[in-house]
Amino acid sequence: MKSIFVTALLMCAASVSAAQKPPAPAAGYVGDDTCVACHDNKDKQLRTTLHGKAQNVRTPSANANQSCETCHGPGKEHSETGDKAKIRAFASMKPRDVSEVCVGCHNRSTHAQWKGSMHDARNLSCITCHSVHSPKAERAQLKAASVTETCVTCHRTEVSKLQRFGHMPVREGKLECTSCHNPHGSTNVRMLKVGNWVNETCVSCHAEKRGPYLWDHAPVREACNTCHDPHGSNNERMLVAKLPMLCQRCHIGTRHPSTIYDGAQLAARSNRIIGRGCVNCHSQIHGSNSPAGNTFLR
Amino acid sequence: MKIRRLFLIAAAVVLNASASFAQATAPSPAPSTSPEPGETTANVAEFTVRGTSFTPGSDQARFMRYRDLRDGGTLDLLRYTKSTDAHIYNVQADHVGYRDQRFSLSANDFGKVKASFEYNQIPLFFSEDTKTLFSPEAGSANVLRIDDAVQAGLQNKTLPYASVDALAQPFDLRLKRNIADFKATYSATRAIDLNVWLRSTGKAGNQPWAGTFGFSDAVELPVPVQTRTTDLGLGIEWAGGRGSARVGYDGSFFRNDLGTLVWDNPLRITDSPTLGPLQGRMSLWPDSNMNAGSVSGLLNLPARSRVTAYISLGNWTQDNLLIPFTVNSALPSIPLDRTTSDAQARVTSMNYSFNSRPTNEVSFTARYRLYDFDNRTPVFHVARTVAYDTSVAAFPEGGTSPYSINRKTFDAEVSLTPLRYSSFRAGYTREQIDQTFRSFDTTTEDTVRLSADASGINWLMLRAVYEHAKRVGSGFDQEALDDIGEQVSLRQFDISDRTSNRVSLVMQVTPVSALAINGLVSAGNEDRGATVFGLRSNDSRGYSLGFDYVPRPSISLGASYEWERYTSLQASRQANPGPQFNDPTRDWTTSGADKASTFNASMDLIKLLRKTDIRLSYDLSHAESLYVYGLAPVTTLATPVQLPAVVNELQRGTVDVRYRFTTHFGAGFVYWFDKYAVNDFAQGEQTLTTIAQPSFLMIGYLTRPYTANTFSGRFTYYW
Repeated sequence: MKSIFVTALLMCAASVSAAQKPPAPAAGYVGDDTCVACHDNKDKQLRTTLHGKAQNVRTPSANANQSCETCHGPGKEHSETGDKAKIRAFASMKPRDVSEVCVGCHNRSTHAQWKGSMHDARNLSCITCHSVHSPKAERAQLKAASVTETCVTCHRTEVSKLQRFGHMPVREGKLECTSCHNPHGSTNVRMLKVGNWVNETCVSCHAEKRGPYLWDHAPVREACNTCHDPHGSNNERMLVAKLPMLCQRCHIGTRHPSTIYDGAQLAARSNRIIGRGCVNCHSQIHGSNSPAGNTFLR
Repeated sequence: MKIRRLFLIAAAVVLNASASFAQATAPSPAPSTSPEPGETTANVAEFTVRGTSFTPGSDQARFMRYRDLRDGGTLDLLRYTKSTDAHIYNVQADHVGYRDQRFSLSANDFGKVKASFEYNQIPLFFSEDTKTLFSPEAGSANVLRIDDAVQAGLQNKTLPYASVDALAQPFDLRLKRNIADFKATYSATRAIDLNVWLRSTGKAGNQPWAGTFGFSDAVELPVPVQTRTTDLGLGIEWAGGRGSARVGYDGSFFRNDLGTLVWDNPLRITDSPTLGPLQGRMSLWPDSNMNAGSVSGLLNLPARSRVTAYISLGNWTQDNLLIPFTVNSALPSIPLDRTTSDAQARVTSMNYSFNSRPTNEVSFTARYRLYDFDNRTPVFHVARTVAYDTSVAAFPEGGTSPYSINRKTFDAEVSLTPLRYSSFRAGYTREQIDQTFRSFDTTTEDTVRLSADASGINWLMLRAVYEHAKRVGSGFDQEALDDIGEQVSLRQFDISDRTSNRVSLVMQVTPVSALAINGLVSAGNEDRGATVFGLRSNDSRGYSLGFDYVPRPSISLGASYEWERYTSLQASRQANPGPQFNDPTRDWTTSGADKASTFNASMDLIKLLRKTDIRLSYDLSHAESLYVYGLAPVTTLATPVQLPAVVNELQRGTVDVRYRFTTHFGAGFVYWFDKYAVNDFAQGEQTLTTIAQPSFLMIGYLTRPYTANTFSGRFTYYW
């Protein structure tokens, strides 16, 4: 334990020492006027976005006469030679080098976990999804018209599930991928935006299922996606299988859970297969607060 | 002890970041003058008139499930933005006056304050043709009554059960969420932000629910919902060149106006100690609170390295008054172990990561994650319980099982980028989950993964991943299964031993700049070799193919097709206690197969015709689920009658034409074809022809098809 603490203190000291070093002096900058002489349209585009709002001291435009070079780097050599290799051209840079520039400023809040995140590890960069100069989306400067159109490029299977019978109101425009996920990385699993575990994300909207209850249902406490596919499924309530088959994956004990609910049971209109299956009776399946709720009937 | 050590590390990181904060704060440079002062405009108001015709028998509620698509006119869309160099204001409205309306206001005083407010309504229209014998008692929405004459008639068998269908009153089954959401960020300095957010979500209406009085007396109910959740978040965050630090608080408070539900027993008008009660009672969702404080820090280190730490300590409480075991006055009263639920859980979450990119070609990340759900709810002792408000029964388990879960995850991965456009990643994850009251005390899963990515090349994007995982349980507790009357060779699928493999390849080829072809191939399998009863396997296959073609700026078209299949095998034994329980000739299996096909096509003609935008699209989603029963080679069970497949098919086609008369005025129309076809043996109208099903009084909540043709005209004003 001591060694860990000492290591942490050493890290502290190293960081303080590093922080005291003065920043390297800027060199080779030519100023916006020189850039705009050739790239007038890029400048105009930038001015319509938040990056172009100089009032915000955190934007590139706040750096007097260096709004272009804040991101693209010193342009002296490039402007003198016309050599495209002498300036930071993001489209031809390594993805992590691109992100390095962006997270130089976008280093807080929802972007704080970018480095080492799933998307970073898969060699995506900020400009995989975002466009600084010519975004198409209403917000977030996305290259595609919407969040879903952005995500579908790689996550086609998940987006296809939104068209299934059981689905969240994503295709109706009431939710989007980023309602649950933070594509920039998060401290939660699966890049979930809210909370510290799958369930905490789900109960941020479905708070009635949060509990803890007097009678908890173990797989519910374990993870909501044990039984539900949040992207959509062929079953009502986005269940991963139809009832009673889903429940019979764990409940095969005596009497009715172990019964074959087949066509004959259907013809007899058994109340364990018609309608909503097992929850026709076990309505409190997410947990019960009734003293008599041990089987989630009350 | 371990937790304490982790705390110390976290504290060191957070303190370090805070120390750096003081040194990194620097005077802000004076803002430069924008070359284009003044306002930019991108404002639009769109008024629409809509009308929909349905084919006979269409399920209009399903068509409008999360929307309000009634005929009529509305301000369908408003987008107003006023932007200067100093600030931006934005006003938005959608579908004004309808149940799915949305309004938002936002303001950004650049570099100082950013605030937004949104009011959003999300309807959930279950059914317009539900009907029930129940109606709320005057002044008590949570007490559902049936006419006494009907109850008496059914109890005395003077009223035929089948005749109650005609007595039921039709009603719309719907819910609605009203969400008011406020967020604000105040940038106190260049480095410090203060964040606050407040969200209030009201939920009102009815939803399908159930109450039961025994195996042969189940009741479907429209349970009333009147809840409100208030969420509050506060945070202060510093970020500078050396790192960042954040301290935050999150609270969530759920309140239910209707804590209990009382409903009549349709078959009885009097309480009986043997034949059932006149009414049932259950607890509904209890009021609960969640409070959590968090601290996080990020420290940039030399060699493009950084370390992060995050700690969150939460307390979940729920202390509602407990209702008695039963409302049946003919049954003996069973004393409660305590009067309130006294439920509480301490939730501790920690996340530490180290990320380094020592060279341009190598990136390394290691993470440790802890999630501890420590359920501190005292066991509620139960010697005798009441089933269905009908009978008193012994409860051998003796009390509640307050489940606790402790997850520890270590993850490390290295990413190599030997060439500018390529990346190769290898990773390993070990997750250990300790849990209480489950058949395994601990499950441990080891996962290795490999991925290869090519991106940034003009003509090729390729992403491939392979993952292999093995989960093993330890500390098997046979009693945990025995106690609940399960076969001891059952393995619950969320914790059972499992070996899984998953591979996927996503590719996009752009042979010429106008054409992009994309494809996806994926496969996965889960093998649970140690499982005799329960889920044994769960596999998936899928592929997709599509293209986007933009021959000229005014024309773009695309299409894609995707096919997926998910298969599973689960095993059971149809047995009662006694000799049957260990009789292998009573074994049976269910083979599940879920297939889905998705097709999308679209074509946009933007200003191909003068001043005119035309957008055409077609979507098809076809899904089939089939469950096939199998028996043991030597069986004593009757040959099962196989169930038909469940089929859901959704088709949508739209034609959207916009014509811009002048700079400020435009008009257009939309034709929208929407067809939903369904064949669900459990919820279809072919099965549920009456609400008076044998042993089950329903509300007629069905899955039914619809075909809708919608025309809407629009008038748009731009300024």
